[in-house]
Amino acid sequence: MPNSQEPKYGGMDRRTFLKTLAAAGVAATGAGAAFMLPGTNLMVMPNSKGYLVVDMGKCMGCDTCMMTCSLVHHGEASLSLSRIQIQQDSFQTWPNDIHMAVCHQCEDAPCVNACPVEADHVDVLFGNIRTVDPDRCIGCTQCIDACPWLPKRLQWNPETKTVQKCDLCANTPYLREQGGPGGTQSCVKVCPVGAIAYVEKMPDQNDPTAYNVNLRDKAWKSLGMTDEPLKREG
Amino acid sequence: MAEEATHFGYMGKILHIRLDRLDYEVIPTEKYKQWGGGHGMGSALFWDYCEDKTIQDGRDPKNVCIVAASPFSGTPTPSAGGRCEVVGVGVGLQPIGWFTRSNFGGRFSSMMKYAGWDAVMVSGKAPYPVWVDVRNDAVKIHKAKPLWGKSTKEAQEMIIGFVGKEGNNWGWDRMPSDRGVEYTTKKPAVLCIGPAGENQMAQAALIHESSNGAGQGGFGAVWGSKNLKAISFIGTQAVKIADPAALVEARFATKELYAADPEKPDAAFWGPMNSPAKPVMSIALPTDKARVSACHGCINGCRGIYNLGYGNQNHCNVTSFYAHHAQRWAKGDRIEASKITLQAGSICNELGLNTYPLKHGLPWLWYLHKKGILGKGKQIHTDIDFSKMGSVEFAKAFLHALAYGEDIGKELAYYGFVPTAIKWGREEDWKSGRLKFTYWGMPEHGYDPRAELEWGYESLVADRDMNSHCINWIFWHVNVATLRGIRPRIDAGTLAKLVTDKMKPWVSSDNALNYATENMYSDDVMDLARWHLFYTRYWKNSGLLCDFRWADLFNSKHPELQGATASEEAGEHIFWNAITGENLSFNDGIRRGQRIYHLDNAIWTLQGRRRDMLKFADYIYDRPFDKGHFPFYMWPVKNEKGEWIYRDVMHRSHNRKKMEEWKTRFYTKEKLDPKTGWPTEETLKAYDLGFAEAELRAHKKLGGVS
Amino acid sequence: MKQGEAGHSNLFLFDHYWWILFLTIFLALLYSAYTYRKDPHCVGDKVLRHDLAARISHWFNAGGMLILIFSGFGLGFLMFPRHVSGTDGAQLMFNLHFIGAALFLFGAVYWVGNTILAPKRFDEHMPYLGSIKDAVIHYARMAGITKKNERPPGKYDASERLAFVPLTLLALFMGVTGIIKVSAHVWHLPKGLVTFATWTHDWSTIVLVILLVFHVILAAVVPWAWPLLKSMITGYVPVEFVKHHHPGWYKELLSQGVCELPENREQKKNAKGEEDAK
Repeated sequence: MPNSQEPKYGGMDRRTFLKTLAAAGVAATGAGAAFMLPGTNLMVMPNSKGYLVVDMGKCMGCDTCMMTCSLVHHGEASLSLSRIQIQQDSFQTWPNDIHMAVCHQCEDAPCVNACPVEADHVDVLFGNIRTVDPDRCIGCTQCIDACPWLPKRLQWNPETKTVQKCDLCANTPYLREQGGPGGTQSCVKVCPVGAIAYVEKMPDQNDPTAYNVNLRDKAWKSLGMTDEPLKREG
Repeated sequence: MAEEATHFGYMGKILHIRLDRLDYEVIPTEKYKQWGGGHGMGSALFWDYCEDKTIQDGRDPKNVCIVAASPFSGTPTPSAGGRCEVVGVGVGLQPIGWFTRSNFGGRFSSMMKYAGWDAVMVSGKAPYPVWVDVRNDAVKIHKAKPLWGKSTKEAQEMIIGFVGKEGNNWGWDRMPSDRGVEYTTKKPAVLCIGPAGENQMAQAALIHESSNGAGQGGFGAVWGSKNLKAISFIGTQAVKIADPAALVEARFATKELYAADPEKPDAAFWGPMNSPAKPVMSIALPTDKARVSACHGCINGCRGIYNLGYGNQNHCNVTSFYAHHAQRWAKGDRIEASKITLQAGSICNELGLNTYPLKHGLPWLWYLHKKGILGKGKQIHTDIDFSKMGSVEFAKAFLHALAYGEDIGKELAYYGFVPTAIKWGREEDWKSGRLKFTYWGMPEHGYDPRAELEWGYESLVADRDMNSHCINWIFWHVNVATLRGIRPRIDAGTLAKLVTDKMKPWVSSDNALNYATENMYSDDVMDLARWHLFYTRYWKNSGLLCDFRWADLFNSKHPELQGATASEEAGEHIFWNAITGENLSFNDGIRRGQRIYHLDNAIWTLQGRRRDMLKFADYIYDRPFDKGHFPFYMWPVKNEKGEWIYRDVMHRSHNRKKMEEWKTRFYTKEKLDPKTGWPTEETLKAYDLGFAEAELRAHKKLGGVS
Repeated sequence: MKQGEAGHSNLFLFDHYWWILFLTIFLALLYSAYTYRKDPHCVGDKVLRHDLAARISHWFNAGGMLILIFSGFGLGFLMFPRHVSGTDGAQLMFNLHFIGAALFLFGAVYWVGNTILAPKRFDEHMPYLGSIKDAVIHYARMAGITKKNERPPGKYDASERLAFVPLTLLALFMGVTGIIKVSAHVWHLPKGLVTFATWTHDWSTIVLVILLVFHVILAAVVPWAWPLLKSMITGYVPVEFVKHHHPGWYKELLSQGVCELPENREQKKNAKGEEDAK
């Protein structure tokens, strides 16, 4: 049995109002969806103003960079929260016993492209670093999947349930100096042997070995270890 | 779950593996924080959990072995993050297997912390070989049948392959945890024994990775006697820090003010912190295709990784025990000799053998061989071809014999060199110093007690070769400069002041560093030894600062030649307090070290220690010191005019009577019973060890009680 | 995977098909505009308590919420850990969350549309002055603590009407903040808005789950609620149940003439029988 009393509203009864609103909404949604199809939103990312490069032939494997990274960002010492990862196998032969994994601050960063909610974005206020805003991150981890490098250069933070990555120390509440491009990078500063360097020129994006450079010099050679360059991917 | 918010520096939990029951219990760390960590924590745990402290052989199933980290572990405290202490009743020390200690580097202690644990303790004996698999809070005890018999390298690789199975396309491994899903790119850190430990050889070590070894004390035999092959830790957690910004600042300051600059290495550096990062090899580096390799958190690494397929992480004695023989074999080809030495070291590591006894043991065996006493069909028969000593072939055969208890290895490795020498009728070699096993049935370190006084004194009043180089760096710097014919960088007087200033108020004047013969038995020198004994017991063995970089008593990088030790920018206490939130002074730490020493002494007392046991081998008293690293042993002394100079302190011996007087004064100063060296009521009260009284009384081992 | 190869992208419904959720909202409104409800009335010895529209919105809400809660906890938030690993695991939960969101939005917005058209239905859900006292008396009486009487309960008793407020508000918060979070996939939103929406979404979940547990217990688990659960499936509840548990509503139904007293019904039945016989 139908309800017999349906109130009227400003010349149009509610039922008709709802029908009109709903129909308009359906139409608008359809149009919006068509307009906002993937591929219609092209953005050119400005290049990062700074990059970390490493020398896998030089690293001591002390993990000080990793502990310091997590300290300056999170206030605690954790390898799993470090945005630079050093992997080592003491049974392997030099130079394949160590792999250093830094974020490349890619020119056309797949992780930025992969983020559906602009959490992983280019921060134009901090030298165009590719960084993850934890307030926007929904934890879908598509950015981690998208990273072309192994091990993936983004980390899952189980405490905040968001993703994080190297921001060249832009957001480091426990670093007393200014971080970010133009400022201090903790891993570079703390490395006892100088196996990590900060450069402003973007390494060749088409060369998988471009981020491994020769940071060993005559002084290193004088200590008895080779200063010849190595080609290492990653 | 640990109450994380209240634990700065600590993880809040200690893992107790009860091997006889094949289960484990979790012990809260809170009660043990007063001991710092490492050795102190280990001694306190041993006191609480070893029911029979009278045992004298570490192979006894009642033995309890503790492997302990500290608040520094897993943090970027310079040259501390990766060190780890092992304590328990040892195997092979003479006349009693003392409650003793060893220490090793790498990343085991840090990974143990990241898994959520401050220490692991093993008690009892498993009914069959087992290994322990710890992944964060998940602890499993597995049968070790596939691992038993394997070398330390094979066993570790098998464990790493087993634990690392939950990978994904990220290149990160997933680990179980309270926080749902967590990931790591790291491999597990494993501590294990090799065949030497499985066969319970006194010379058996605990090995971690390629060449981090807890060699002294025969802990490999302890684990072997417990049917324990390995313990593996992998973790994804964090060490909470009270003042993270201060910790980072202190680390930066250490690099800036005290540590060697890799771009400007100073070949004539003085001070351990200023030592350039490079592999420390006894001969030449065998190849330049190498990197310097460091333990977790180190400020200047000291080992090497090579492209040779062997020798990785070998360091110090592991590269020197065979060096002399290899050089002889290689007829002066230093590179070849170096390669042989590295291979020999790696063989030891894989077999799980301590190289230390071979330092002076091998020259003695060579002597016996040259004299026609040792060999095939000789008075001491062996099928091992000693004419090939110095070759890789000999190293393989001999070391295999030691690990498996074959041939002469059966006695040498199981009982030790001194008991074997006596059994072979060669006691005179030991007494005369031909077999340089100077104290507790163990070899001296290359720093003869007749010259380097503190080394001898500290080894005597403790349980083993003390192996703490803080003051010994003076020997190296001065004598290398002398050898090169160059003037020492720091003059003797300045050096004496720099060093002794750091020791106040424990030492009253710079005379403490005056090793002149007339000053050998002075209270000043005793006070230096006491300071060093307690500094080492706390800051190094308990805090776990690395012996190779700490204490930094003087430093040529600093404009005033000051060392990092006790400094306001980068001192030991600065790091400690930044991490733990405590307010410990540098000297508070030394007082804690004193307390820990006295707890150790209480354990030794229960084990049967008596004053008359504290003695050097006879040659230390009967013969002058005339053969060491160099033809001289230069040391700071005050001459007849009271001026500071460097003088050769060789060619003298200790005096038995004066040593006895020294012991009496030492005991008196430490409030111990001078007749026995046992703790008295006063001792226990002075060092807050009242909990030990009941047990000492029950065993009639309380000093001063007639 | 080789170094230098970007990972593949998964099907992420929130990202690729966000417009379905907006479409769902407008379709639900449209459907409500074409829905002609049945008011409660007696049929034999049963009363129509929940017409089809009510049941549709309830079960879409319920099903949607269950999936949302399951997938939300699977993903982890605030102090609750994530239970799935890798992007595959996260994507599965997100996609389930999307499906749950679509179901929930449909049910909730359909209810909103229907309520706009019949405000009195809203009134009978809302608490009245004295609801708290009546609810306390109701349960105290059940527990045997008191012999006082509450006001005769209407279609929804006092505690149900009280629960309506937070449940509806929370559902509103969840829906609105959820739409804001979905919108972040499409438009640039101010950071403050996103942070606020996430915070509200997370904490509302906790309160909502607690209240839902109570709702499920009191509306489905306890034996005296089984007739009500049945009515949410069939639509009907026994007259005797209504007379006993919702006497105020029974009185209303009688006064509206949509129900008759049993004796009157009996009389009519007999009269009809006689007529038929004639």
